[in-house]
Amino acid sequence: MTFHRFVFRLALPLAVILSIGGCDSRSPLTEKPKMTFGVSMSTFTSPYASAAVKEFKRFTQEQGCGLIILDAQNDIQREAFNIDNLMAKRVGAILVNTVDSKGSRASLRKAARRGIPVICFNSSVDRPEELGVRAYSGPQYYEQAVSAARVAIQHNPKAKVVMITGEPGYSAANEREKGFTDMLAKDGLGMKMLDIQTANWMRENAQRVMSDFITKFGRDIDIVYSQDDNMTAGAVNALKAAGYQRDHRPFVISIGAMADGLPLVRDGWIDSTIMQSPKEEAQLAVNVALKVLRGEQPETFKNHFMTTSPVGRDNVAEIIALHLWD
Amino acid sequence: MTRRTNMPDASFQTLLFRGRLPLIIGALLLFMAFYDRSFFIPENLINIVSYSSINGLLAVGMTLLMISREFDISVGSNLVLSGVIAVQVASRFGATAGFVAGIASGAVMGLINGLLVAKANINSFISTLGTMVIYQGVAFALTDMKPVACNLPAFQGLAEREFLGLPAPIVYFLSVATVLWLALKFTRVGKNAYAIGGNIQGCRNLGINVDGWRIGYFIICGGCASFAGVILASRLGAASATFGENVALVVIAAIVLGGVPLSGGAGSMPGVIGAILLLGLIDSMTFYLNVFGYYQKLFWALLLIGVVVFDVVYARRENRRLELAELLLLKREPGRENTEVTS
Repeated sequence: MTFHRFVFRLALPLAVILSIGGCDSRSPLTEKPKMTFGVSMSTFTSPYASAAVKEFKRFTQEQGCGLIILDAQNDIQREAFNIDNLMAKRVGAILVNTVDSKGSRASLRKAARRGIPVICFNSSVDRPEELGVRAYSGPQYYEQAVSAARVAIQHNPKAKVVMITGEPGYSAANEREKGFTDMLAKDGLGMKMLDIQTANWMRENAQRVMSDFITKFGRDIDIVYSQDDNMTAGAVNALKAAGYQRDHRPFVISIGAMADGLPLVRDGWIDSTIMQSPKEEAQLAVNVALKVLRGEQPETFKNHFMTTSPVGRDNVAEIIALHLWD
Repeated sequence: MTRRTNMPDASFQTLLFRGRLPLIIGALLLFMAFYDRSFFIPENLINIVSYSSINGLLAVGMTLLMISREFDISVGSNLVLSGVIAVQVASRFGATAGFVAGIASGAVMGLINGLLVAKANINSFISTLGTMVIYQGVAFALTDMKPVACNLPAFQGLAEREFLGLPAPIVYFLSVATVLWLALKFTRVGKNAYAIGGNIQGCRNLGINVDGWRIGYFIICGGCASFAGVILASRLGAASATFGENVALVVIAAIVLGGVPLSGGAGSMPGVIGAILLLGLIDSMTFYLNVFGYYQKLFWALLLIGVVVFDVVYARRENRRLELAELLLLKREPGRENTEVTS
């Protein structure tokens, strides 16, 4: 095909469109009276994400707001594209569950410079206040890890520990590692960290990592600390496969109180996990955005942390009854 | 007789999008004009082209290679590794050094691929699959799996500046595409690619330095991929070993959509550019049609397959019409048979 034929064939429909008035920059959306929120999620394919997406839909509807929710597919370039699209759509506020603590900064800065309120939820970036991001809402990962470390120290102050981490680069993974090791360095000087390996938030990977740990350290492992329940479920599978019994096994500490983790707490395979409700998180993010839009947050940047409390065998029944993950 | 030689033949790839791509793009745009006019605000149109630029650079770079009947599935890792190298060098030795190092490293990666294919005679699918994992592994090792950042304004300026109101990535993409298009159409670079893709043994017999040219095409492909990687790193002010997975498949799909058969020997640059824009357009449409998140991928794929099916059906009909016209012409003008046999 020659180039002028290409141009010619493209020109005809384009002319029609332009004559319809295609270059009209007034978007029909901005003419609607209701406020529309733009949400960019790092991924849609995790138990956390699907519960949060559902709650975003339900809660924004309840508040009488519109919602555009997009999947970045864990791809930094797609996230940038999504955020640009949301800006072009003139949404009232952009809520971002960032893919990468460094790589997402440029897009957030661009949106903030346009004067659109930007709120990070669930995961944040390095020094968000410098970029003009108005708020972070979600769990305080560092504190979650500190509580997990407290549980570990209380259980056995001379224990040998293995750690399974989430995907490097996620603020959640970094903080849940730092909080734990900082706490051990402070109050758990008798404890020993045998090894730290990543399972990228994946259950299968965690199962493999845990099997490797068992092969390498065997009965030396006193405590398993895994950064979320999904991975912990994999680690528990590895323990079962290696022939450990429910009452004779390493102490298992987890974070998340997720749909896969709670039954394991009830059945006695996980000793402790930390509460983090995706429903509460989605609602908090929308409420924080509304607050910023109404001018009720005087600070240029503010952290809005969720309450996070430990879940053990004593209170697991109540938590399961809340149906956090439906 | 020109009509008969230009007639679309029955194979899938050559039928695809010969001249119909702009019609399809036009039809989609027309649909959007009725659905949501805010789609046509300049900002959105620029967004579409701007985000197509990265894949576009990868695609135009690989077009020459695919015409010569090879392909490179390591472009995604190349993009990642050159971005990482650019960021790390730039943080130590300044922005310009970073750009140069990034692009040079990509050309070297292309050279390695070329040597493996042309000199060691390893099938390009296997060799570039291997180097894909190697390049990504190097990127993992260099970064410790953590994102690396470079906040030098000069480094971020490469992608953030504007030319005549157009974002820089678009300008880079269009310049590279134009240069390669001209090279493909008017120079030995292009002619040899078609010849090698068409009949490699014949080219050897004619004394063409087949291996040299193929290595050259791999270097062009690697260079373009690393240029894309450097632009991406500059736009984000950071690079990470996990950025550009699965890019190669989309790029190869776009090139095939654009009319380059997997068996090489044919295709054109405008076709590939059009296909890249089509993919970007479909991407943006899923957003503007407000397709809910979970169905976006499904919608994207269905629309893409719908476009291809439409194209094949349309092409078949056009083909039949041409045959009919031929028959009528033959009846009216006796004596034409001779000219056809010779053509």
